[in-house]
Parts: sequence; C-alpha cells; structure tokens
Amino acid sequence: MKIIEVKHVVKEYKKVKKEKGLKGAIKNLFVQNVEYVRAVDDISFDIEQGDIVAYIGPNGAGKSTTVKMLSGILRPTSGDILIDGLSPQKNRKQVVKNIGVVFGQRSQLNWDLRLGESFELLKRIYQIDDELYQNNLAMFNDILEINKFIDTPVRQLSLGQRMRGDLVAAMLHSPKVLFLDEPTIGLDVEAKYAIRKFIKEINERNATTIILTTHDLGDIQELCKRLIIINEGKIIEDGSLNELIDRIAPYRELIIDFYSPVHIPHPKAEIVSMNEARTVYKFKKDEISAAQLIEDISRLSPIKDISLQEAKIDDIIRVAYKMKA
Amino acid sequence: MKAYLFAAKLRIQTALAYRFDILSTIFVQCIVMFAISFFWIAAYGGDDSVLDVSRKSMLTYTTISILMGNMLTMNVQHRIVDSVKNGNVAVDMLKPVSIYGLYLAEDIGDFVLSVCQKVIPLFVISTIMFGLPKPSSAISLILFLISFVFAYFINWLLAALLGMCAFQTLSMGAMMAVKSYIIKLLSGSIIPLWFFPHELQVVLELLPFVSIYQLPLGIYIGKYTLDDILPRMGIQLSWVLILLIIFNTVQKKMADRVLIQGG
Amino acid sequence: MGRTIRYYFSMAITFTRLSVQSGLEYPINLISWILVNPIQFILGFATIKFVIEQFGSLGGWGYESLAFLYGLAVLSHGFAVILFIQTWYMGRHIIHGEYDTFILRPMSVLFQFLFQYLNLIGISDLIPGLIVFIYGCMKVQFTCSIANILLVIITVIGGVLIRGSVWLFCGSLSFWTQSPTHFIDFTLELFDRVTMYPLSIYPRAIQVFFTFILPLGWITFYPTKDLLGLGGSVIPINMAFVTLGIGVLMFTLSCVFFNIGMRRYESAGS
Repeated sequence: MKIIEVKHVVKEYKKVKKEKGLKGAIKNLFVQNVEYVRAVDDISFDIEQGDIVAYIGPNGAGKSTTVKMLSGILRPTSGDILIDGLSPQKNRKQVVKNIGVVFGQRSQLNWDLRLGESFELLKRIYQIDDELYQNNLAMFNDILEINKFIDTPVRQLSLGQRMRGDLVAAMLHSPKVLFLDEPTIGLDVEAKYAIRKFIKEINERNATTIILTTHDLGDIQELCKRLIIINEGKIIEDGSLNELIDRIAPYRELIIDFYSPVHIPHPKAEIVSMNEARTVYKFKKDEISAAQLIEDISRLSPIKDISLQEAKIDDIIRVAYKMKA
Repeated sequence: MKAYLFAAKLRIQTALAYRFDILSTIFVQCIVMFAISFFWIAAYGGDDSVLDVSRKSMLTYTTISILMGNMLTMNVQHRIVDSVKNGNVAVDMLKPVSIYGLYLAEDIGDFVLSVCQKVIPLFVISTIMFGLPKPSSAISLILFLISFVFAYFINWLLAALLGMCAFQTLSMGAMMAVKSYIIKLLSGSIIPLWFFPHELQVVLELLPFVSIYQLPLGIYIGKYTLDDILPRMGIQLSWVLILLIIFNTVQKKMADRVLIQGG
Repeated sequence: MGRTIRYYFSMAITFTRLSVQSGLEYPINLISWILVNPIQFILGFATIKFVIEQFGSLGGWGYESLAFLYGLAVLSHGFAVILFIQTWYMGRHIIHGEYDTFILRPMSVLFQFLFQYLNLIGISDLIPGLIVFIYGCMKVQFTCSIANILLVIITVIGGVLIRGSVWLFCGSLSFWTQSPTHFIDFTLELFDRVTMYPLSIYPRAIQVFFTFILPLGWITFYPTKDLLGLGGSVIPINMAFVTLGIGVLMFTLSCVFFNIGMRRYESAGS
C-alpha cells in the first residue's frame, strides 16, 4: 500500500539579493533585486507502508525542504502530496495525527520543563488514551532507556539524551509515518547506535514508515532498503543501495598473495597490478563470484593469503552526487 | 584611529539595512512628541506662563528633549553584556585597540546616523507642527552645545558602567529597565524637575541624571541665568570626571578578573 | 463542537500550568522584574501628580479621576502583557521557524502560540496596575457595587482584547517583512499616551482618530467617563459594552490576519 505519494512537486523561493558595502546599503534602501530559486524541482516518488527510505543529497540539495513539504510545514509551489491519501496542506489536522517529525537541529521539547512533562503535554494535545500512552512509553524505554533522565529538565540533557527524548515525543501518538531530518547529527557512537536500534524496532513492530535524511552513511547501510538521492532539487537516484553499488561501482577487487611472483590471468577478471608475489584482480560481481575466482586461480598456483575489497560507500555516494538527473 | 573610523562606518552600514525600523522609530518619536506637547498645552490651559516658563518655551523644551533622546541612544551596555555572555570578552581585550574606544566609536557612528535619519526629519516635523524650537539666545545655544557634549559622556559612562555590572548580576534585562525608567523620569526629560515638590528637587539635583537632560534643556530655553549656568555646568563637568574615574577603576578590576578567570 | 471547546479549554489550563512551572524555574529573574517594573508606573504616576498639583487640572479632569483612569490603564496593560507578551517576539519566532512545531500538531497554531508562551513576568505589570487602580478607586470614591465591578471587568476584558489585537496584528507583519519589526516600543508608547491621559487633551482630529479609526480611546477613556459619571455620553448603552464589542471585533480581525500570515509562512519557509 502506498502511504506517501509525491507528484511533480516544485518549491520555489524568492531571494532578495543585497549589494555589499556602504554604497550598496544605500542602494538597497531603494531597489531590491529579487531572484527565484528552485529548491525542489519537479520531483515524484511513492513510498510503500513499512519502508525505511533514506533521502540523501549534498547540503542545500532540497532535502529539508522536501521533508517540510511532506509534513505540511511548507506549501509546494506546484504539485501534489498525499500522506495516507490526504494532503498535508489541505487537511493539516488529520494528517499530522498520522505523522511524527524529528528535526535533528531543533527540539520540540519544552526547554524549561522536565522531559516527562513534555510527554504529558503531547499526550493531551494528541488526546492519546492512557493505555496506548503507557504501552508506548514502556516500549520506548526498553530501547532508549529514557526513564533514566525522564525527570531531568530538558535544558540539562545531553544532545544524545535530548534526541532520544525528541524521538519518543514524535512517536508517542503512534504515527504511521515518521520523518527524521538528520537524526544522528552530532551524536556519539553510543547514541547513534541506540537511535538506529529504535528506528529498526519501531519499523518492525508497528510497520512504521520511516523517511530519514542524513549525511551519515552508516545510517543508510544499517537501516535503509531504499535510497533516494536528490541534488540541486532533482531526484538523481531512486533504488536500493545494492543496485546503486552495482551500477556505479560494479567492480570488486581481489588481492591474492602467492608464494612466489607468478602471472596468472583469468578470462573474467582483469589484473590491475602485480607487485612481487601480490596480484590484484578486478572483477564484476555478476560475471563471476569471488569464490569461483579464487577456486579457479588456486588450481593454477597455491595461494598464501587473500583479501576482498568492496567499493567504499562514501566513494559511491560521492560519485552519485556528481551525477545529473 | 583608522580602526575606530571603520567601526563607526560599519555601524552606519548595518543600520541602513533596517529601513523599516527607522521609519517606525520616527513614527514613535513623533507620537511621543505630539503627546507630550499636547499634554503641556492642556496643562497650561489658559495660562501663558507657569513658574517663569512660557508655554512656547515648554514646547521647545519638549521638542529638543525628544531630539536629544534620539541622539543619546547607547549601545555600549548591550555590547559589553553580549561580549560577557558569549565569552568573547577575553578575546576582545586582546585586540590591539581599546575595546571601549571601539564601543564609543560605534555609538558615535549611531549618533551621526541618528542625526541624519531621525533628528533632522523630527526637527522638520516639529517645526511644522509647533513652530521653530528657537534657543533663547545665541549664547544659550553655544552653552547648550557644550553642555550637551558633557551630557553625552555622562550618559555613555553610565551605560558602560551598567554594562559592566553584567559581571556581577544575573538579570540584566531588569537592571537596564530600571536605568531607563530612572533616566526617563528623574532626569527631567519629560517633566522638568521644577514642577516637582521642593524637597525632591533638592535630592534629584544631586544625582547625575539631571545633567543629562534638564541642564542642557534649561540652558536652551533660557530658564537659567548666566550666573546660574556656570556653577551648574561645573557640577556637570565634575560628574563627567567622577564617572570617568569610577569607569577606569571598574574597567581595570574587570580586566584583571578576566585575565585570572580566563573570561 | 462542545467537545472541541472542552478540549481547547482543558489545553488552555494545561498550558497555563506549564507556563507557571517554567516561569518558576528562573526565580531570580521573576523576582527582579517584579521588583523593578512597578518603579516605572509609580514614578510615572507620581510625575503626573506633581504636574496636576502645579496646574490644577488636565483637559478638565481632576486629580482623582486621572488616578482612576491611570489605574485602569495599567490594570488592562498588566493583563494584556501576561496574555499577549509572546506577540512582541513574533519576528524572532518567525525567522527561527518556531511555528514549524505548532504546524506539526493537530491543534490551532494561533492557540498553541498564544498559550504555550504565556509569561509569568507579566505579573510584574499587573501588581502595580492593581495597586494604582485601587488607589484611584479610593480617591474617586468609586462605589463598589456588583454592577460596577462587572462593568470594570467587562472594560478590562475589552481593553485587553484591543491591546492584544494591535500587538497580534503588528507581530503578524513579520510574516511579510521576515524581520523582527520593533513595533513594541511604538505600541506601548501609543497605548500609554492614549489610555493614561484623557483623550480630551488632544486636538479634535486625533480624538476622532482614536475613537473610530484606531479605537484605543475605548480601552479606558470612554468607559471611565461612564463609570465616573463624567457625562458627555451620546448613546444610551454603557461604554463598557462598546469596549468589549470593539475588542472582540478587533481580535477576530487580527486572528484572520494572523492566519493569512501563516499561509505566507508556509510558502516562504525559513
């Protein structure tokens, strides 16, 4: 079932250009240079219920703008968005009951109150019944251990604790869709681990659909079945991480140390380099498996040691960012 | 000197970016000016002169007071508080120029800007509404200008001292509010102290606030005789010196503290 | 419908409770404002007293009536500050995108905004308001009948709504200017000038302006005339009700304006 439908969405911003210097400042008093910038340029995609989708791209690519449009904060210049069949712009109050949003850079928690107080407030705002509220809190506590700091004022929480609090706040009303805008930004390893675990668990238990934007490739590798890459407002990639790797970097490298310098070619693998007893082969995954290749070569000469190198994910993403739609 | 000039210029540039604010300030000041003027017109009623001050002089007093208020806007207190809050204070003190000199230069930049953007338009508006706010004589104009310079420094030093209190207290907003209420109401900026009960006048004349507004304004409208002006300006100048000494002491103490605590 | 009203009512109570709790987190700040703020009203009132003693009356109003007028003005100012102080900072909220969180909740954005940031510090304006008003009542020998007390309450509610709607309107301008508009000094000054002194000291044109175009004269001037029986009333209904009516109307218009601004917020982003 499609839970999110995005059709030809465009977002244009007006930008006022200011001139520099004292002369410019005086000039700005009278004339304003207006420029239109397309932050999101005709994007379309659907997301199935229960998917975890990474929405990635370089800074300023239009990620946050998209998330804000999907969650109803921004109005698209043109195009349609449906969340569970409803437009977040036209039916704001209904749609927001079905979504939860976490902005890594901003907290919805009340700064001066203890964490639990913010949860209580949300319980009232969303009119969550007692049983669901208690169950949810108990479940979230299992994963995030929020009870340890639930009575601390939010302003005294560490970044990691605050982020856990924000995740709970966004999930208290059991939304069908959860938007996470850079949820792991600036967090330490421990906090990142807890948050990834939380995302996985709620996805498995409640089939919550999750859309996350991130710069952390670890997040993508561990969580996401699907990857949408956006650059300069346009979608340039949409598929699984494996598909992307196959397409951008279909080659793997096999490094073999023989007992003595030998030259052993193979029809399905290319020799990249030979240095003393070490030979590096490059091969395509879909043409031959690593096991087959090793077996073939070992028949011809005894092997002392091997290692297999996958393409590095950050390299792949870097290449992908450079592609055009 | 170049550094100070640049600071003043930068200040003007930033302020130009906020044209909406300027218009709204002029608007606010017009309202205040009208309101106080009509207040006096209503208070004078049929009388032409009360306590040796004519209705016309009182209107001039009001107008010039508003114009002075626009020239006496001090940013130094906020600058000092901000630099303490952001922890920049140690860095600022390491700069090769006097940090307070820079703040003063910025405030003088604001002063120049304020004269062009607010004081001149307000002057024109008030002249149209209530007639030219003439000084009582050429001498009183000159003495007024000298006295105004002293007033500027008293006001600046008070603001700077208040800003430096940020080291000691937690609630700056409230402190600044007290200062502005006191200056507004006890300096004679709105209601001259000669309308106050006699005992209160005696006490208030001892404080530096009177030197900021009432003395220059009184000189301008010719409320004081020449024999009266000189001793009063003497008191004003003493306030400048006293505050300067206090400022220097506090500033040295503060610098020592920053160096010891690391800001 | 009934359910919605109950929901918003109980949320208003919850938000108020939380605001009090947050305010008490900073007791020093709260106490220092409570000590400091009365100074301006006490000093302000004292200076008026000195002038009146010197001149006898102001625009036909004696000292006693002026004290009552001044007290009523500070009282409605105090309540308005508690309920609407957050509108003073709308520009900042808008620039920092703080309405995002409100949009994401299934509740009126304006309601959340007004109640989430209720400010306890407003009490520092309310306390001197009460003191001066009670003093004014005593000076003018105001009869404390139930009818009179009700009329004062209605006047204050109307006055608070008029002040609040002006602030909400000015704050909403930031949706267009995208910068903090420093309207607050301007409106505070305007309110003080029009509500603390009798409107009759101003020229005819200004009186007409503040009666019909920007009806600030209704916050204190006209209701006080009726309450103190100073005469001059043309219409048979009590001015307190007119004040309330104008307050409700202006507040409704400001809410509409705020909502138009929100649409712009949704299209401009931050």
